Amino acid sequence: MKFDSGKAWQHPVLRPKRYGDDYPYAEFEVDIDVELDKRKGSVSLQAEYCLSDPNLLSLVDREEAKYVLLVNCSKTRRRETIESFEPRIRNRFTAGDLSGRTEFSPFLIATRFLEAYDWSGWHSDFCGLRVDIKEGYVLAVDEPKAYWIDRAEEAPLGSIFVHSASPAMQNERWDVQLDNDRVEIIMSEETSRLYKSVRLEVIKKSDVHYLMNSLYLPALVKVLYEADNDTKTYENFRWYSALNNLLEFAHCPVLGSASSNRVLDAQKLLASPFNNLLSLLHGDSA
Amino acid sequence: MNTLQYYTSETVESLRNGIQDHLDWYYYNIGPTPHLLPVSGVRKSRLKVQSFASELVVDPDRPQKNDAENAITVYNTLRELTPHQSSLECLWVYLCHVVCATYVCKRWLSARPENNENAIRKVKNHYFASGTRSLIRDNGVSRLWWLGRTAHEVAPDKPDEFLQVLLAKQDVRSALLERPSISMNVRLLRGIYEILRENWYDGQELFDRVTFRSWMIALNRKGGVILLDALSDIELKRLLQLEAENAMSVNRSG
Repeated sequence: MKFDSGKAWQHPVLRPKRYGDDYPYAEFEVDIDVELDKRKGSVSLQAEYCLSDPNLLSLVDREEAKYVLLVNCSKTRRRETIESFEPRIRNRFTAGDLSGRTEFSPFLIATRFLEAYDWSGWHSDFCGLRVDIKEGYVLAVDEPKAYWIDRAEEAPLGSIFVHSASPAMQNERWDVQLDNDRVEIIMSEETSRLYKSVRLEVIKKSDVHYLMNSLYLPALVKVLYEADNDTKTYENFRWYSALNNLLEFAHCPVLGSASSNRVLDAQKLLASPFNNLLSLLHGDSA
Repeated sequence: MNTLQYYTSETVESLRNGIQDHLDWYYYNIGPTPHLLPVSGVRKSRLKVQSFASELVVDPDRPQKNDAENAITVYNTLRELTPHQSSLECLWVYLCHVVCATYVCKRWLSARPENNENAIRKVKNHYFASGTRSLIRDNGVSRLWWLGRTAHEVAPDKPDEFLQVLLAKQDVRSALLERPSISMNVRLLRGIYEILRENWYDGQELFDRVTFRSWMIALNRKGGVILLDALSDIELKRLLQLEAENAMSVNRSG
């Protein structure tokens, strides 16, 4: 069941106010916290349910409704529900069970048939309405939360970049855009074609260091400084969490750290490309 | 036992960009081999696996006929993969190019399209895997692994029977194995399979295209109101059975 903010339910459902006011005086909010154990790779989950409608709360007390968290990870094909009559859900996932984008969707679900159910806390439009609530019916829903679960060694640095061509770019220049899940390195169509053909060749030789130093090193420095200065704008993008993991893995200050020297950090993340280039050139000249 | 190896992502990109130059190798196994790259393009994993490529069979007249047994072979060999590892394109690209190249070619590239673009697209579909859907449905080796895994999860006692029933009709296969809302929901898939299995030995009415689709549409509609994942086993079974009977009843009267 996908969250649909515009969904027209056949019975009153408590959901975020901006999506519906079936319950004008109540709220259903769920705080979801996900933590990756970087050493073991396991994922800890904690969800706190805040439900304010007294009638729905009494259903939970009588075990006629339950809190449910639907966990959905398309990369590992893991789909699981975690259920509780307590407003707190905790779970631990083994290393490898979750990876990449994982969505956590909270619900309040009926556990048995409730015949001719009605409640004065509904919107006045439902005055006099009685509904048969079947087992499994959604009684309340909150917006799902998505987390990226990437271990540093599973999200190599190259994976945060993507290349694209733009007619607006001048030849022989490249630029960087950060407003998407991957950092875009943009070139003109012609330069992009040239870059792709060169890249195929350098993979087979050690000349890759030229590309590292002329493209990826300055791009990474730019990304690190931009992210440091504006974490709020970038923190929800996938590249941000992947880069943060890599920084931690390399024992560098995480993003948002005012005092870090990102020129040095970028060289560390790229395994000293300048030194590699020097070694290459020194070897050539000898 | 051999160490399971996989490509670097740069190597995968290089291979993907070079398909056009190696079409003869992909379709006819002639010409330069694309995967003869520097050693630095291949990584070793920690897993040791038995050889299995020679056990994969293809009937040239009905290539899909052996999918079930091949799925069991691949899954049993690579059973130790975690779900995360099995989602890595670079692993499957390596297996398709190096370990199982003969099988993938026989199964999927028996006819080369005249149009070059289509020829390249076929190679991309079955030797590579850009995205989860491609891993499940298209890549020559990973689709077998996921088939085998699903079979063992849903019907651990008789995975071969599960595959026999689900692979019998394309409609059934697509609806149940390729749609994430069902294929990722093991309890739901098991419930549907148990009804289908019974019907398989009792007239196969549910396997009729119209009946099956009516059943799936009804379940889809129910899933819009009820969180099927949260139903008790008894209630889930009751709902699935009721909608199956409704679908069969409508088809009989229609």
